Amino acid sequence: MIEVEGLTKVYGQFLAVNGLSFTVRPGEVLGLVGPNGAGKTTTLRCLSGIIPPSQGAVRLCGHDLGKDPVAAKRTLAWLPDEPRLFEYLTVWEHLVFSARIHQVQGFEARAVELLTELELNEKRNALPGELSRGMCQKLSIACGFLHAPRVLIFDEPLTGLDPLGIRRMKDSILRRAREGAAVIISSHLLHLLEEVCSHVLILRRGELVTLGALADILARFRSEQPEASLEEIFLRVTGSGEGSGPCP
Amino acid sequence: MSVIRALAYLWVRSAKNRVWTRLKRLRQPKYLVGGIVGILYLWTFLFRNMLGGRFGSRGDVAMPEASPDLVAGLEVAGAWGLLLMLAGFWILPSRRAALDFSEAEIQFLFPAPVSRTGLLHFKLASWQAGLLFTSLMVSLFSGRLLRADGAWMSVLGWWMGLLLLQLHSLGASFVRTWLLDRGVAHWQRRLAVAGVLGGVFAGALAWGWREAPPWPGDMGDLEGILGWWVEVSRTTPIEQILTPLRWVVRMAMTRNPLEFLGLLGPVVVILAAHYLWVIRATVAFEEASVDAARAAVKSASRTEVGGGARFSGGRVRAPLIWRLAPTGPVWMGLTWKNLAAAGEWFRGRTGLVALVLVILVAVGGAVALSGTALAATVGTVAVMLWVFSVVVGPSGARIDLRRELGGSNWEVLKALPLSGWQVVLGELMAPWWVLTGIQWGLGFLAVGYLPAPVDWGEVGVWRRGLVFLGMSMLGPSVSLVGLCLQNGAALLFPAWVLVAPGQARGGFEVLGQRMIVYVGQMLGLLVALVPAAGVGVVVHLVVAWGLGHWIGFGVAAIAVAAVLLAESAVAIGGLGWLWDRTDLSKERTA
Repeated sequence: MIEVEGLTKVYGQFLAVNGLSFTVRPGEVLGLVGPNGAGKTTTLRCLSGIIPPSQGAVRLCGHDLGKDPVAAKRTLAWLPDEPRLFEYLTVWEHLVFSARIHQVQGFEARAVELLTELELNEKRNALPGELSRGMCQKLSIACGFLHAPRVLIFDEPLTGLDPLGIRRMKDSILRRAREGAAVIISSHLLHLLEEVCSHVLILRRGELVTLGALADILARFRSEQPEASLEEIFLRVTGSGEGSGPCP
Repeated sequence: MSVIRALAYLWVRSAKNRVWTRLKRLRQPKYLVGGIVGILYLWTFLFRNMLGGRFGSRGDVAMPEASPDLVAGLEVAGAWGLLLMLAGFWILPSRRAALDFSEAEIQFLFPAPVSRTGLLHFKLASWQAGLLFTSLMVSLFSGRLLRADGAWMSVLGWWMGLLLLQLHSLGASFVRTWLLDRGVAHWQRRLAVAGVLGGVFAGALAWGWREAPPWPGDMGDLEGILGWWVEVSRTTPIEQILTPLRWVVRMAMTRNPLEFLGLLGPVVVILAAHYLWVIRATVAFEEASVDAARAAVKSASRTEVGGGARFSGGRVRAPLIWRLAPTGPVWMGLTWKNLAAAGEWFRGRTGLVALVLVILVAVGGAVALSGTALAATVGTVAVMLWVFSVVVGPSGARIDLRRELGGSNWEVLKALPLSGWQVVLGELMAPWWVLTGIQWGLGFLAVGYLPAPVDWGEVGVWRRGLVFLGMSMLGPSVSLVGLCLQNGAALLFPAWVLVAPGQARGGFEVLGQRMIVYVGQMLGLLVALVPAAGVGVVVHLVVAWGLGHWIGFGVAAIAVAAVLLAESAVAIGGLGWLWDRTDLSKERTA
């Protein structure tokens, strides 16, 4: 479970995120969307403990990220848009390293399973410099999934993946949600979010504009416009499209 | 002309915006203080002396003249150094010709209607500011810039020397690529170049052997050998071979304007020939430049050590020297990871085999050379290297937080379920273990080879063992304090270390910061050493009173090391606290 209360982040005079509050329960997949500069990445970084919020609190599975960061982070997998890998560790050594950090006993079987699932088995002795971007992304995902996290935070998780990889990634996210993980995904690919997310949070200039179950939001907008998609809703509430206007 | 204007616009606007960004950064107090200290430093050591006549400083004070023999020796040594570097451009590299274009330059310039010569001119022009700045700094630190006579000659001379290196490096890379395209492998080229160079110099030496001074005889007489080598370089046909390089070296050394102008002609001819060689070469550098730019961005955005990415064609790698279990101290995972970054020495049996070989050679050599001048030389060099590794090692062995902060992997570390002290401990242990291994090896060599000082009496094996114990305790403990200080500085001034791809490294405020940090580190080391030294003196006096000076030294070294390790433990806790509370993203936006 992810609980966020009054999350605010200020850089000097610039208010990046303002008083954000929401909850993601086990099994829910929250899509975090917003125009460029809306504060999505800042929010995700605060939720992952990478940067401290200026105000507010974040709880991951009941652990306060500010007061007990280690316990909170044990439940977490953060998967950034650009895979951050260690240049001098091979694919398998990345998994060994992740296992040690998260103290995953008997990780080998699970690691092999993940490598097979992500089609990285043949590359287990390769360094990141020898992998394509998509493979690096898959390795980052394998490391994130190794300790069976109960909180998953994805920043543009589908970037760099091929169509088959995208489908498997979507299935993988949904499977982990079904197994009880609370998931947040930030992406500009709204039609993909529509397929994966149970809930949606739309940000604009650091402020929460819309939050709720995807089905409810679609239903609200479709009462006015029967064929409205998430993309049209997004354009409307963020004032980015022709049909922009206030939230109904 | 429009292309040249566009490239000039790019260069000028980039420079202007870079300066403006740095000025804006001065709004943060720590950068402002750094800026003020930087300006004061530049004023005190550079401008005040350059303008000494007007401001009444010591700029007009002449420095003592060096002896002609020393100047000649330096000139020959410089020429040999230059020759080795030029030869290195032909022998060492294994990559294709590539120019250091940024990814943005590649995106905008490569598809643009700019000729290959235009791109080369753009790169050559953009390098010159860096070469001039380097020349200025070298002249400053060599003391020439502070002199009333010859400052401009030093700067110009160094600039022309560096330009020669730059052009030759580029030209050699073009020829290497040309040879590669025609099926000449790296080893064939290396063998050919080394063979030609070796043949030419051996021939020249044989030709003029009768004029050469007699060989000094004793291999341990380093001074004698160096003197002989300088004389050989001045009396045999080797002199003619080195002459063009000596002109280049002489230009940077001379204080005589007439001599400088006399040398200018031939050196300009050499540079012009190099320029024509580079411009007329018809070797494609674009593809390799694109790969190099991509690799540079990768290595800047990830944790890496000791150069760019290694592409090994998918060969199977030996596992790291020890197998990391999934359970145990969490911080050790970071140490394990960082040791992987230290290179192949920590994979498979490479390091162990090297270690056994070093020990065998050291023991065998110590026995075989006992009492000779060569043994004393080896021992002395080992002691000097030991001191160097203790004092300077921590700033060089950067497989720790400094590397993480230099890329973007600090975000990964921040998201890991580790306390701050665990992160800092895990990061610091890798360079510490490496330095400790090096210092133990050097200590072993030093006590094995060095003869006993005359007034020490008989120095048997157990006494040498005590000295080794002392060196093994003291060196690593001082280095650990140094590592704490280095990493502390990086955490306190992260913008100093954080270098995003394409981000400039810093301006004069960084110069000030570096000085603040340097002075802080020296003070920190002093503060750490004073109580440890005090404890050491007391322990030595007490133990030596009962058991003698040798045992007193050994026990005191252990006591000093214990104090320094305790101080380091406190520092690691403090740095961990700092790590938990430092918002590095704010430094990105600074």
